[in-house]
Amino acid sequence: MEVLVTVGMSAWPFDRLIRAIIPLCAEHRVFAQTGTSKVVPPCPHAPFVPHAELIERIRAADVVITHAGNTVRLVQRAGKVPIAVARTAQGEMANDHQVEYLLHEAHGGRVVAQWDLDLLPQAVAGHRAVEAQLIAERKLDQPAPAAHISALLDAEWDRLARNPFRDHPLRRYAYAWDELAGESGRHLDIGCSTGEFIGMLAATTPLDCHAVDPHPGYLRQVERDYPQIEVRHIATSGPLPYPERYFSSVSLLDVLEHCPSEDDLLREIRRVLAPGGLLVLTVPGRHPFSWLDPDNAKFRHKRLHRAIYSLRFGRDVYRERFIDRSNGLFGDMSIGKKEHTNYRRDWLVERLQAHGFKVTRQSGANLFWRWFQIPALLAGPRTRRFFERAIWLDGELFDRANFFFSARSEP
Amino acid sequence: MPSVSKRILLVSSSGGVLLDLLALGPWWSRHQAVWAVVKAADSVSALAGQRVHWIREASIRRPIGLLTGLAQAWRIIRNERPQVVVSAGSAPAIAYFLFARALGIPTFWISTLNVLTTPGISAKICTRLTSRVLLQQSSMRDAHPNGIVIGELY
Repeated sequence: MEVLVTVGMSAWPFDRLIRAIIPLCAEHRVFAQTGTSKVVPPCPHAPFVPHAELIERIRAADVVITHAGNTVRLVQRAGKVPIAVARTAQGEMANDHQVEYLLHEAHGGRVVAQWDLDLLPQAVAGHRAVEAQLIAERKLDQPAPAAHISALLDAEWDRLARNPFRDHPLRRYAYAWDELAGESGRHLDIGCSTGEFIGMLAATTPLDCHAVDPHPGYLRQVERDYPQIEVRHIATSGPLPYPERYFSSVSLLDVLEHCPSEDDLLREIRRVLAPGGLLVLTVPGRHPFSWLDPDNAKFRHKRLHRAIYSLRFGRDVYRERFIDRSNGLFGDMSIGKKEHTNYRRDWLVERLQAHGFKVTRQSGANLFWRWFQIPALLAGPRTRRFFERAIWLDGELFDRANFFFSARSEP
Repeated sequence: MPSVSKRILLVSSSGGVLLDLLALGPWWSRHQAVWAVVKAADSVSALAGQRVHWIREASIRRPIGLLTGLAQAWRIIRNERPQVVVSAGSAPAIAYFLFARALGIPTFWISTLNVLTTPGISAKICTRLTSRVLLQQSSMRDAHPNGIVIGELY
């Protein structure tokens, strides 16, 4: 019989298999692609063969013996059943994933797993019958249609390239947009602030966008800048002014840590979300530099905060935001809240699950950004741009300081 | 569906992971594809006629090699200015995914066909850096909960 042996292109030698084929060379016409092995089999051989030649040799062979790499599928696609030998982590490759793959493939696939190489000659001798049986009994799943793969890759790239927040220093916006761009129906942004996110979401997606915030000044600004968005005022606690199951998606971007009760708000979100609806939630995470969180300065260093804030934004703005508390807010925090919470990831996942959400995606951003955020808050426009770029890069490379979650409302 | 031609940089070692990228031919052949690939018998023959930068083999176990690969990766990315970087493995791709991330270039990481549950070290690093993880095996969802199952490529 014509026997092809191939050990792939790995830099790791597969001496065990090359030694095992030596007895075959006396009985069959064997060609061996030996890779980096120094073992010389008594048959025609080459360390590596070009891809096209390998395909031709697979087609021409009566029996193909291969390592349990991706070549297994190449042989199967050629209408044959390979005899496969798994490389192990004992000097034959970096890990045992070939062993795992071969165990799985041999369970129901068109492959003969050869674990005992002393029995390789018998396996080759009886292979034609085994091959015919396996082809008759076991099906080979077809690869995904090429058109489907191409369309998916184009669509994913398009979504990444179209993300209007891809260069924004705060990565939570890019994350939220990416999650919501494929959604449809009514969307609610809770704690919309000046409308930077919801305004862009409304302009770039088919979502019917609504926004709520406890700060009347922010709402006036959103109404003025984004008239297509329906805005409503909400109190810092209490029910959301919408009926049950009204929205198909909700965003809560760095808002939860400002609220008096996480549980109350999550319960309300669950109520207004349709079954299967999407919640996109971002929060500051507890991390080694949480102590630098400037949003806690108003609690821990009140005089310093008043001095810097008044210098930066003016005394009248300070008075409106921090002394006049008629809107239930101390700055942007609910009155009664004692800190700008930096959350533990597992605690939030647990709370989401407790309120009937299934977390579908987790991500994060930043590690060192607090070191850049504080000077960025104090700097002039040109210097601020430099620090914002540093924050963006930090967000691209790390994921410890801010946590992002996507969760579906369970039916 | 977008019909605009994109500049695609395909990064690969030789062997099985190269087969994954070759199987994407119907996609990348519609765009401006350029390759950064480890030179080997299979890659030289399989990529005949393609625009190829031959790159050094790297291993996570030889950090010095990874560092020298950084300069080459930087030069290729700056010269080619890809709009998307795609790879299925292995260690040589780390430098490209790192720079792509730092420059805001979208990346696709494809989990190779015969890895069923546990990604290798290079895959773990690249999937942390990538924009999208594309899985050929649904069993990899546990390792990559955010991955998109696309099915087998070939």
